Amino acid sequence: MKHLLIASLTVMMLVFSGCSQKSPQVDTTTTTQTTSSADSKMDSVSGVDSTAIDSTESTAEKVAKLIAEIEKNAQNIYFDFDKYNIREDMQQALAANAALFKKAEAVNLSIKVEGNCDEWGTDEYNYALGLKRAKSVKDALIAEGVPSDRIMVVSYGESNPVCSESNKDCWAKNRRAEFKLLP
Amino acid sequence: MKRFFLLFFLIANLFAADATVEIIKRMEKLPTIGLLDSTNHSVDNDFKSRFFKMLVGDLKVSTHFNVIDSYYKDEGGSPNSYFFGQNPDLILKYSLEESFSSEIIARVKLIQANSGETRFEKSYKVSQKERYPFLAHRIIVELNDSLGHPSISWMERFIIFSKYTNPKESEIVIGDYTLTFTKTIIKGGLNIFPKWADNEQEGFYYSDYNQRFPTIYYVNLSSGKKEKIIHSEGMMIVSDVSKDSKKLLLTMAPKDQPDVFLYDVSTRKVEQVTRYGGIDVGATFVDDESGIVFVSDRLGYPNIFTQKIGTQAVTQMVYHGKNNNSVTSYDRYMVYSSREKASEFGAGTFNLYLISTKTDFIRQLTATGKNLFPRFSNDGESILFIKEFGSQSALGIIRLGANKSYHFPLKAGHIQSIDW
Repeated sequence: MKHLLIASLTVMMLVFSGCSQKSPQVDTTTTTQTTSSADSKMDSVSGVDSTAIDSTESTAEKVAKLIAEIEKNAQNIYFDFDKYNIREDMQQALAANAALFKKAEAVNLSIKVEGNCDEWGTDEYNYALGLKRAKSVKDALIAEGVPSDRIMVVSYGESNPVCSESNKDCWAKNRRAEFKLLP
Repeated sequence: MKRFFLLFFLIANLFAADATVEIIKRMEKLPTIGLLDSTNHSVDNDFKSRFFKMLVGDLKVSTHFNVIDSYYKDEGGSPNSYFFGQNPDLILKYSLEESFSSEIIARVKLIQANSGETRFEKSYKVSQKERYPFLAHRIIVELNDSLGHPSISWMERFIIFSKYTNPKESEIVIGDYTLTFTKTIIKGGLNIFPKWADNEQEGFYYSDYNQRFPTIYYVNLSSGKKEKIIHSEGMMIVSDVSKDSKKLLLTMAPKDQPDVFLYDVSTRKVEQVTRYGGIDVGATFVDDESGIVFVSDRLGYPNIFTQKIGTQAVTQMVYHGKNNNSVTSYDRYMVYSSREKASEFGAGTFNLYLISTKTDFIRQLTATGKNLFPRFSNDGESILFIKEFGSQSALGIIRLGANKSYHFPLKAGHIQSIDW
């Protein structure tokens, strides 16, 4: 599977065998204790198999072009800190996106709304916040007449920043919903 | 002074039923230990130095010793003669050997300094040089056991973590607790929230975000085999695993709505635990796994709540802070991270707090910076967490019994989540 690395297929050497007692540096004299191996945990680590996962990649060039064009024209929807409601100033962008998605040539495409967060949230809560942002956008698109069965949502939490500087403008750019079109 | 100790004793007894206070009573005199390296010239000095530092670090992190951190090379003569004026109670004398196949052998001997009596003596080996942290951890764990101190066997456990490498890209890595030894297990795309599947660390779950739907996989660490467990729209995370490894607490959103679900590993049956129109995430088992604590925004901001599985009534657990967004539990104790108001340390400070579910006692565990994603050790004695410094992140360990904190920086990447 392409997303997984076969990190190491070689099972590491078993090392429970005894060791010689010839070193004079520590006067261990005639100890009869067995040498303790610290390898036991590491030796049980193997690689991860590469079972194939079905590819969902489209092969139709025409559809790919259409998708690229719509994605280029779709506008990101931005959010306030720690909020997932659609701001007033984002309504116009949302309506424009809805019109784009409702075009006759696009009606067979699915819309994936990706919710994203800034770096100030943490862990699961941040992923949930991103999801609620994506869900708010989905509900708004439905209200604009886009069929609900065309829209799916996913959250990428803080994992997908477009800006990595540490300032307010940058964080505001990262608190956003993006759109990906799927055949 | 006597009055102080009497007052201290009375106060300590007043709260004796609560471990958040009990720990203070353990402030007894610790044995002082010094290290003496008897390794000959066949081993390079850089490795000798790294190994010495690892032993010293382990001894310090155990919090059971006062450690003399000066390096002494054994040139012959009495071990005591090297520690003039430092008065160690114990001397750990050790030597290293390296074979042609890069195997490392360590011979250790723990000497009672005043009598010269040997308290502990053993040989250890590790098959690859790069694994030396585990060799050092094993030595200190067994040395500690031999003296009858509380176990520090957690030092030998693997840490599993995900680290961001690029937007929408992360790797899942295992390592020792100091992150000196690390090994990437899963790479390519966004793979996050790894969680050990069993106490023996034979396998782990993780969330794969590279397909149409976020999907949970189980990976057996020794065979490398992976198995698809469950998927969901929106988000899909294993938040906790029951003690017998048979039940999972999941955060998933089959109807675009993040809620907590209970998953039975053998029957694959899914039961919805929370039902709320906002955010419910990050659940962990409490009360012999009859209930959960979790993070919810049902008051308009993230906070910690508890709920009995099978009922819908929730109880607010934390009345401090306005942004408590991550929680871990052990027995009747909880540690949560809380985003502080703007302070002299700047906005965006997250601190960790320990509370008992039976009292209103709160103990602040960290003071500055971003301290996130707390996780109890399996013996409840330590807290593992993510410490962030600007663009760098580190693994933090708080030894609750000694009220001490240690940080181990990650060389590259940004830690997303951890488990041990």
